[in-house]
Amino acid sequence: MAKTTGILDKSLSRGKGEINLSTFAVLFSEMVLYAQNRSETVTDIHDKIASYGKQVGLRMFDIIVLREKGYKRETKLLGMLMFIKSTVWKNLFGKEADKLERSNDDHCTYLLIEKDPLMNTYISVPRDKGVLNCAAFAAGIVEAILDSASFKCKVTAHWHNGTAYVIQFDEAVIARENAMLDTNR
Amino acid sequence: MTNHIQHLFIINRAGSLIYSWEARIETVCVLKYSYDDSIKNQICGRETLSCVTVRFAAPTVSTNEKIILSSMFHSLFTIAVQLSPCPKSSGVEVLETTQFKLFCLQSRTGVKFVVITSAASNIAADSLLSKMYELYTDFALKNPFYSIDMPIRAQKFDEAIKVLLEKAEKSNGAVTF
Repeated sequence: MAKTTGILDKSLSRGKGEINLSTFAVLFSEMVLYAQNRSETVTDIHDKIASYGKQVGLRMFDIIVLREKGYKRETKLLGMLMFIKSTVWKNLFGKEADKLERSNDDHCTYLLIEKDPLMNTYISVPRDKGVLNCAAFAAGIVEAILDSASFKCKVTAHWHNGTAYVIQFDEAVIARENAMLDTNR
Repeated sequence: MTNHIQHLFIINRAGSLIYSWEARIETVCVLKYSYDDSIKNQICGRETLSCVTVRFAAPTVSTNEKIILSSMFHSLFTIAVQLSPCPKSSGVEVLETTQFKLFCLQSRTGVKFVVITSAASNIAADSLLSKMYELYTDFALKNPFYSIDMPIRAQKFDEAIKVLLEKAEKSNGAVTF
């Protein structure tokens, strides 16, 4: 009897990781409009777009970690931020974020800087809504990923050197990190 | 001057103008002259001018006139489709006169892209128009702050059109952009 390899014997394919930018741009444009029609203020719009990003972050976190880091969990804060800057960004947007900085005045605040976020490629914000940055979507993704990895924080998107994602960690997270660094010495 | 793109228009489905661009060509003359010392003080009483800059430019069309012309063109386009001897005519594609050349592209959705160049220009207008159509679909249609059939006020669209026109002016009769 001939040995036939059925579909269940083949290993799982990784699938195509890319979609058309235009498809995403049209969908994202509609999402921004949906958020805008249900909000009164710019902060509301930011929060709504960030909540859509949170849904993406929650789902992508597990799969990206599994594919890129195997079964190892990142426990150090800086390591987690570098993972987001390079691997997560590469997986989602096809390029790495530009810079990761630590704020000088506040020891709980980190800045992730990106000159041209992918979702803002075709969006020109009118002058009366100048504060609105649709990169709040990416801010939501970052917040969901850091929350799932047990680094509680708040992430917001601002217009600074292009787009800056301001990551505000809870005091407890920073304290835990410092304690860990002290014990390691 | 060949390849001189003078105007760009985008006309929506209803015939109203939603975008217009105009080339600002100025010829600048600097006239230099000197005064006889005796009349120097009489004229200004202080340091006298020794040169005057004069700028010449073609008369500009006001925005209102542009809107009127666009709707007129829209109606003429529809009439031309009916008058054409061939069935299923595409409408006005090229309009040539001794003073200028007008090229028009009508998309499937009825949006018209019009470019007006100088009479001696040898620019590849259809590829310029299709590239303009592409920029419209990118920076206007994918922009959540743009409502369809309204005037286009998007900064990224303006910048992209500027880049495209600079490339077109330099290309000198090349086929594609």
